Amino acid sequence: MGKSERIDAGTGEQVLEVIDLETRFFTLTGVINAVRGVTFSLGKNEILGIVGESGSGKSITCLSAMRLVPTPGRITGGKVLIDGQDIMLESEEDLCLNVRGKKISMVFQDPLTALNPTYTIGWQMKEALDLHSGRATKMDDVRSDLIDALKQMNMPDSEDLLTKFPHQLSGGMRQRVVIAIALLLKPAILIADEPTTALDVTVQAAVLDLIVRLRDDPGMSVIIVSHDLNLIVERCDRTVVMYGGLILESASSEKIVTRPRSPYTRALIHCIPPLTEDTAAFNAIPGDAVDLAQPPTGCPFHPRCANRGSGCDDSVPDLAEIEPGHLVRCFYPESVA
Amino acid sequence: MIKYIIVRLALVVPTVFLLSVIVFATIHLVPGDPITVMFGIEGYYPEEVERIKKFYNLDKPIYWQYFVWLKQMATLDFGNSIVRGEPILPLITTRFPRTIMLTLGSMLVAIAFSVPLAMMAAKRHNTVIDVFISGISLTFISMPTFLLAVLMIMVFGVYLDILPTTTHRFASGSTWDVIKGLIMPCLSAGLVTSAGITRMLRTELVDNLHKDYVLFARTKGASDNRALVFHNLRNAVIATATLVGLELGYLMSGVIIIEIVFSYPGMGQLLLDGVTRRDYPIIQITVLIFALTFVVINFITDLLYSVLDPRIRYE
Repeated sequence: MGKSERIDAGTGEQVLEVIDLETRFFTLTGVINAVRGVTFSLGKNEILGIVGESGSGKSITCLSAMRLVPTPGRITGGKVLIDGQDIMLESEEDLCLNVRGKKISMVFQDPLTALNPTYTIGWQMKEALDLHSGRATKMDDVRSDLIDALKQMNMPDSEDLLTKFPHQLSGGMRQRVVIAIALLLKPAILIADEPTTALDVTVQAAVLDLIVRLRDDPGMSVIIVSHDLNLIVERCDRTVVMYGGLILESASSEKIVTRPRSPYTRALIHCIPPLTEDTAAFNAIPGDAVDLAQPPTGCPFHPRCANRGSGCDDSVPDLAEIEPGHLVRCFYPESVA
Repeated sequence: MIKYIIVRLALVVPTVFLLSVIVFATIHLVPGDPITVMFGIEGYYPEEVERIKKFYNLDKPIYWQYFVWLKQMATLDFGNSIVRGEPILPLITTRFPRTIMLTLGSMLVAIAFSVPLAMMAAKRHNTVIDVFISGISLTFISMPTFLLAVLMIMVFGVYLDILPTTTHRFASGSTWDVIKGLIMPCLSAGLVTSAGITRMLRTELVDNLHKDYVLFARTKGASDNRALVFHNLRNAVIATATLVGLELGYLMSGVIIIEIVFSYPGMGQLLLDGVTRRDYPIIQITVLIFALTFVVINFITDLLYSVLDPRIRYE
């Protein structure tokens, strides 16, 4: 750990590079290492998936990429390059004015809580514009732009929407509004943190398709974060598997599903019940998810790992490229079957 | 909305009726009456006592007295003070605005102190600053209003001698005199009130700190302070408004003590004077006005909710 381990999509231009990112939470009871040296990059027009259980550090990684770690958390090391510029070196004012919302945006898990209940949709959309133009624009001047933005999200009856409050809309509609706001200033990068977890199954697919489509329409790069491996591999070009604040495996989505090399990834895939069989019980990974306040020594997954061998509890293995574009952090990777 | 207001206003009628019964009954249950207070228990002038009792209908049965009083109230005829012998209406019209001024002034002080303090504490929650602000709040919460008032009189009125210790020359003074006279009463009542509001608002703000809409505002590009004011505070005031409404009611009754400490010529003094001399008409009208004001404050607080929180609409 600690060395810069580059993961390239092979497409050349990188819009976002996260290098050796470390984020810690300094709580009264001790230090929690939420992100322990994460390195990945996002190519132009790429859709990258980040998979992990709760507490794997995936959400904190994303917030760190916008330098928005909630207190008492702090980014303690590493770089985040957006368009080649290290945002760790920029001033907070600069980040507000030129980076957040403008170059990189984020969509949250629960659309029911992501919009402020006390302001109209129109106000909250206009705020995103005003924050970057540095002045309060008149609603009449921007109304048509806002309606256009909503129409792009397949929102019906857009004229009315601007004067509505969030509670007057359904969950799916609210998530579309959130995405519309996130895309208002045409950022190059969108981070979608569990964008459909809180939605009805019927709405999930529609919202996901909307997000995936962004790659082609305005031409964006997207990071989708989820605990649902299926959802990720179906829609993302590349998948990063995180556990205990570390990347355990990273490869093209196809390889992740067909030839997983990390025992953790394999265990995750094994958890998905096959539709063809009449399964009575789900397969679960034995043991509890890692406690980041007291992580096990060595590889964070070793207490639950089926391939555990000597040395696993001693030191953290390096993230090694075992074949081109396929990186695994394991002393005893799965053999290619 | 309009229907709701009408229904609420209609509900005021039974509330006030019930209030008037309780007020009237309580006062007449208290031992002693104005005549006894004036002439003493021995009764040196029995004929005179009888004459005055007859004049003020005090010899009639209590229900009869109540209906006479009710009829007077309904026709806005407030009658005369038994002890002072002067009409009550002018007393009320000069004193009630002063008490309202004192109450609102105290609330203004309370809000002016609590909002910035709560925001500072929330922004630096679980740090030394937060603990320090909590400590100050706790000190003021546990402090009786009159103690703070007396302490202030000692410091600003006696040792430093920069503020008047009494406000009894209220009617004749200039505007500046009035303002100067109001500073200490408003501060002593306001600071004690601000402590509770600070604690509540701070808790609300800290709760909202990690709400998705605050974080989403940050990802939109809002600065830390903008998110705190426009998104966090905007939502925190909804719950805090309940407390402010309640505190305003408590302040009304709380300023009675303040009025006495500072010889402030308001309703509180009138009430205390009335109670000690069993001046029935004065007590009845002042208590009723206090109660009515309470009802009105509650009504306004309820209406304020629908303004503050768009999710609440009275249909």
